[in-house]
Amino acid sequence: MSNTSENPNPSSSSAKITLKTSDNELFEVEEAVAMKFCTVKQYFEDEKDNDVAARGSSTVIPLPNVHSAVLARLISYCKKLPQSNAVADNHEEEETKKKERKQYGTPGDLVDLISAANYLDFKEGLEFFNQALADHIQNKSVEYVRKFFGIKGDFEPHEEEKYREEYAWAFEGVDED
Amino acid sequence: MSDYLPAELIVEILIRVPAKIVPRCKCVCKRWNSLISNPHFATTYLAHSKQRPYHLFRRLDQETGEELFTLHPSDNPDNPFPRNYHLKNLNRSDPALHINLLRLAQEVKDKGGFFGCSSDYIKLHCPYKTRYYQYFHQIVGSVNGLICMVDSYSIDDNYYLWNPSINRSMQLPRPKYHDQSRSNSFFGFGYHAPTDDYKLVRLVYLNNCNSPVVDIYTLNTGGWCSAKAQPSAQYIIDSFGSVVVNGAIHWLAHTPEDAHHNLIVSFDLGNEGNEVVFHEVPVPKILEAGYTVNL
Repeated sequence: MSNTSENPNPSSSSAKITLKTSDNELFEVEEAVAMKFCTVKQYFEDEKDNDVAARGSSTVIPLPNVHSAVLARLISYCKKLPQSNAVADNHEEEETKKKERKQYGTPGDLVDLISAANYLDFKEGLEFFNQALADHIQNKSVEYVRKFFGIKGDFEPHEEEKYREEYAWAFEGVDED
Repeated sequence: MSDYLPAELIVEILIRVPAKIVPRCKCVCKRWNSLISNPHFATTYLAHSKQRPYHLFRRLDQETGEELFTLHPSDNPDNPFPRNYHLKNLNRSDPALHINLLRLAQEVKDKGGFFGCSSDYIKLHCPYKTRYYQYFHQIVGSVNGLICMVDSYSIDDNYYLWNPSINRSMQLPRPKYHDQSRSNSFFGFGYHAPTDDYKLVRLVYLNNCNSPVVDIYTLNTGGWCSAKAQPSAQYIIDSFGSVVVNGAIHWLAHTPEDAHHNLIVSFDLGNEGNEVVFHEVPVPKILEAGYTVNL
């Protein structure tokens, strides 16, 4: 099974690289896109050194830690990659970026996207999704955050209560879960 | 789910939440608590947050006599004060300043008042009140989000450190009381990176003595120590007008009246021991003679 046609412009002559996900899906992506993933880049360059690259795009790079659904999201993010992840120059820009982050990150997928971006050593993506997740949890209750990350609270109830009293101000202004 | 999110990724996410929320995150579980409590977290958090600096504004509400502090993103075009408008030490005798202030006042008014121009500011609640109605605290300095203030309208000064982002503050112990009447005190507050320490420096010129007594408070030890400075013939100009650059506090000073010229006096925050060395830095020639120079 192959997920080709990532390139909307068939006349383009740019080189393609094939990536194979954990669920054995094949993705043929433009070299420029694939090279954003440093893990892939490294693999690709190592192969080149071994003179295997002579076989061209027949090289398939396995990504055993990335599921196809996640890789598809990362590739689509890569293609629409906002010009830069640099900190917004002004307030307006920051708001636009916030909205953008909301669009990309369905909260439930963010952890998977972050893990994959980390594995692929995809710096811009990692920063982007980390910020999206930080945006998402900043107005949430402790209980929500625990549930979201699948964490069990392991403080003694009296410890936690004391802490919450001491830092009451940090527990204000929480959205409905 | 987070079973497979390694510690460094959790940290990367948590340095991106507002400082106020960080204590809440500590409550999630012991692992998060220990990640956030690690000094490395604070360093990483600061480095990241510095990418988006804020300006701290303080004004006195004439009606209530209340001191109001607000944080404004320095890159917000709606900022009541435009970018690069440095107000720390205004030189009141400069006519250009008055014209600028008038223009500024009109601009602010046009935008609907100081707080009408933008909703993008953060109101802070100063934990301390000055002892006298309608008086400001003196702000010695601020670094890494930590503000050092002095309530200094009486002989027994009160010194405070305040971190508004996390709403924590502390009153510092008082330095040694100097028996002799003081002619003047000068302050500086800075961060010493090599020792990861914050220091408040106070120079007191006692009457009939031309070398200042230097008292230094270090946050790591939580106490003051005194040091002696070599005799010097400069007069520092502004009590709260210090600037910290390259790990040293700088004050503008001048030499005695008959040979008046301006210069900069600096104190290295790494200065150890009870002997204090001040360094002198010349000011540009053109500013050497003036009486209205500011750092």
